[in-house]
Amino acid sequence: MADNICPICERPNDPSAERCWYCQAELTPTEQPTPVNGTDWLNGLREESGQTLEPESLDPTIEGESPEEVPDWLARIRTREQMERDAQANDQAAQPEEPVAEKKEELPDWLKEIKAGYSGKKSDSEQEEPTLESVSPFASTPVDDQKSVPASQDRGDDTDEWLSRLAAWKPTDAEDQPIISEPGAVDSNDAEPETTLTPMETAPKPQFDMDSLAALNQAEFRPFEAKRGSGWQKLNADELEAEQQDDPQPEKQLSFEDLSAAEEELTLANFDINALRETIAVQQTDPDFFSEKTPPQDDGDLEDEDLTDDDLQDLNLSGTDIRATSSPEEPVFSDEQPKLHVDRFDPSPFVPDDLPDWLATAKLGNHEKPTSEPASEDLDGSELANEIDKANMPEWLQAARAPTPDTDGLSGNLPSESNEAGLLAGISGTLQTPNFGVDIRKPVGYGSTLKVSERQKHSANLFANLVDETFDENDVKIPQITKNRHIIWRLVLAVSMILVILLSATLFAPFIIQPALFPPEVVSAYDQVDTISAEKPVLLSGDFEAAVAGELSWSSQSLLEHLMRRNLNFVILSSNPSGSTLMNQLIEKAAINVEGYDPSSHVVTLGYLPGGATGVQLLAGNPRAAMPYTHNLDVAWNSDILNSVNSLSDFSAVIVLSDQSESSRNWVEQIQPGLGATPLLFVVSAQAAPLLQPYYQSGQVSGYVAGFYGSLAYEQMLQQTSGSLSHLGAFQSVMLLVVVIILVGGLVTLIRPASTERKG
Amino acid sequence: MKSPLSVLVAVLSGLLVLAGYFFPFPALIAIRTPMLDWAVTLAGIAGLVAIINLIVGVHLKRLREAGSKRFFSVVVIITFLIVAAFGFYLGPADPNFQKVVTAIQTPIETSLMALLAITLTYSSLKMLQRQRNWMGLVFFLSVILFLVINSGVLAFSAEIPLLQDLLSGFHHIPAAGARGILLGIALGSLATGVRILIGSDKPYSG
Repeated sequence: MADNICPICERPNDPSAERCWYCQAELTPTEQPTPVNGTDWLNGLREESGQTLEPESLDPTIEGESPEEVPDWLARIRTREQMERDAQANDQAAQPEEPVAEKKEELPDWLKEIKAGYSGKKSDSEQEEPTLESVSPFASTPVDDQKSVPASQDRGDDTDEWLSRLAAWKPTDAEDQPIISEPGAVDSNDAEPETTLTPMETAPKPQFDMDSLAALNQAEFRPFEAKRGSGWQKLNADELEAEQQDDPQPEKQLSFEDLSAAEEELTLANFDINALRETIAVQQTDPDFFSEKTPPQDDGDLEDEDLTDDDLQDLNLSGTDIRATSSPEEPVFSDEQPKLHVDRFDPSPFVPDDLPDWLATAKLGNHEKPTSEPASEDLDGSELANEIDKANMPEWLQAARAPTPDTDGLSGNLPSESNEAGLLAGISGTLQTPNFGVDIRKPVGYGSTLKVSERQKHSANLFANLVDETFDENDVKIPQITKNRHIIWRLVLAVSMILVILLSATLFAPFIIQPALFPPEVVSAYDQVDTISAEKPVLLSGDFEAAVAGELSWSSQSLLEHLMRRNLNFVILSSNPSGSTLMNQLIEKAAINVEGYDPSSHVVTLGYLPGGATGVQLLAGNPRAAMPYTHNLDVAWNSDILNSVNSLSDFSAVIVLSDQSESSRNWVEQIQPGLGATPLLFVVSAQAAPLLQPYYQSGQVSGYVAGFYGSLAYEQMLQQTSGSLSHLGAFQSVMLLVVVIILVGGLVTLIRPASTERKG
Repeated sequence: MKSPLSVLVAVLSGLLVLAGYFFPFPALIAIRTPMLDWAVTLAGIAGLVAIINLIVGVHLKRLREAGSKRFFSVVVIITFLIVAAFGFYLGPADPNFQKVVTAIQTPIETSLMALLAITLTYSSLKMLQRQRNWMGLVFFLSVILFLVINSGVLAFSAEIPLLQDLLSGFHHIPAAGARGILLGIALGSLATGVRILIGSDKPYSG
């Protein structure tokens, strides 16, 4: 029959044994139903962790040097524990104990074989070598679990039962020889002197009655137990009850390994893992046990060799403090170290209301109170809680801690529901574990602040300076005299221009100089209009603002009259909301000068074409889809004028009236490729003429009329005597006046020194 | 980063429109034309949204603030409501409604252009005061020269061969500058279009 492996120490046991021969833990020979006993929530905790062990935690001095927050309930637990420990120590004081070395020699061969078969790989000398890692109270090694279990689990009440079971398993050897574990024999991979098996005669009594805690809160722990459905925690409820009756103080041990995994969850669940760690440390550091199994010289070696700076950094303690409190002459583990204040505490550590209050009031921020006190010989939990200081939290734990919910603003949003995972799983009324969705071991350091690089800072400062300068300029107060001077100068300029315009028709009429040459683009436009087929309509597109309506009306008047004289049909649209109305106005104005031309029968107004360049592109591809209705919301393409038009190439000409070079460029780029032989003409403002000139030279534009002089040239080609010539005097007079003003002003500015130089 | 779906839609739309421009196949045109139609419709709706934002988001908000600008906001809102009411009632083709543009909008904007001419002239007086360097002087001389040329007072130069050739050369200077501007615009537009088509630039991401 196969050996029954202990779920705690993972050592082989007699299949018939109910408890582990080594650690006295409950054995599970077969799959059992999920236990309902309240203590199994702690077993689940063991299962989650169960990897790390800090042998150094057996040292109460070192552990006490980094106390962290200890709740009141934990302090009461410790007090009761110390009371029981003292009572046990008094009982055991009368029993003689054999030295560890002697026990080692008396270890039977069969037991050595069992231990060697389980983990023995190193020799005794290797196992006895203390390592630096062993000093760290939070160091975690896989084998530490096996070493720590006997140090905290054995109980004097179970000695007889334990021996009887051992005798049943190996009667000939067990009855004659005391069972002593050889230091390091259990686990040769970790050579630490304190890893010896604890003799049952000197086993400490359990210090932490977890059953009482579970019994008080059995209803709350039950969901958690139900969730723990695997492993050695699956105890039969009946067996647990019977066991509780037989053993009123069950062997419930906690180790740091058991808490290592749960600790990660507890940091998020507002659970004080440090306080629980201290509780476990107290249980594992039985003075009786260490005083008899650890030689004094070993303690000295531990102090001298194992307490390195790195370990001290892990503890956030100064090396001097540690050495001052634990000298080689003074054993670290002694009976006198835990000085208790029993009188101040209630013997019963738990009351029914304690746990909910603790859980309800637990907050992350409250448990980040490390203490600066290097060592505390007093295990008074309340005093430790008062001495907690933030700065002494171990670095590894500090790094593993996730951002506090308070920092992230999560604390206010945490619902008061039961946790679904972690140590507090199933317990109602606890704070929810925030699910950060990331590795909580690597907390990000940005918090609520924004990470800004130096370059970004520089750019931001530069932008802020620019904004400030802008505001400064706006905030500059101009003196009233300067303001008045500016107004006067503007009035003088306006009055002079108006006077010149008024006098140009009479005073300057003899000095008007008419252009002798016609611009080639105007001549080309005239030729194109003159050859337009009368069977097809002409598309007139207005893309200009009302501000330049006067200039474009002047420029386009002669061209429109030329078209009307040929009795052509017009289709009007505008890519500007007001352009359609302005185009109708231009048509009506030109029609007045053309006899027999009725705009109502020759003009179809399609209205406003939105979309800018996109609309023009749609118009070039499918004009019926782009402009389906007239501005009267009639169907446009059923009229006689547009009935035969399916594309822009079906128009006899496309004439665009524009005031901006950008809009002119859009029309050229979007519709010209689809026009084919249809000419593209422009009537533009003088400011858009230079940009349109390259398109004309490349042949994309058939011709254009720009500005006042373009209109004048077109009139002259039409041999009309319209108003352009009459306005030429005013135009030239004002232009010359402006030239004189700018020239005089520039010369005065050049002659006069700068204002700053004058002030200086 | 925006959803890859939006980038995919943008890139595919651009490629389809571009392909329909270069390859006018019926299938491509059948896809391209509705897409352009949607874009034009959305542009029209954007104009409507802009008008609503101007009235509600700017001027109505300004009414709740203290200051002298409240009066002008009241004028704007009332004018908008009147014009909109008449526009919906009469229609945009009504001659009386078109007088809103021809009798109000055109004179106002033309007056602003006239004021701009005076302001530019006054600012030209301080041209060299701000830029007293060689480039300022070149700009100053260019303004003077082209104002004189465009005024037409040098029309008599047609009879002087040397002066005519000189003025003809000056007329080509703006065309040369315009070509450079157009080439720069074309290259910039091409680069922008390629960046959008390959998803490197996302102007639609807001």
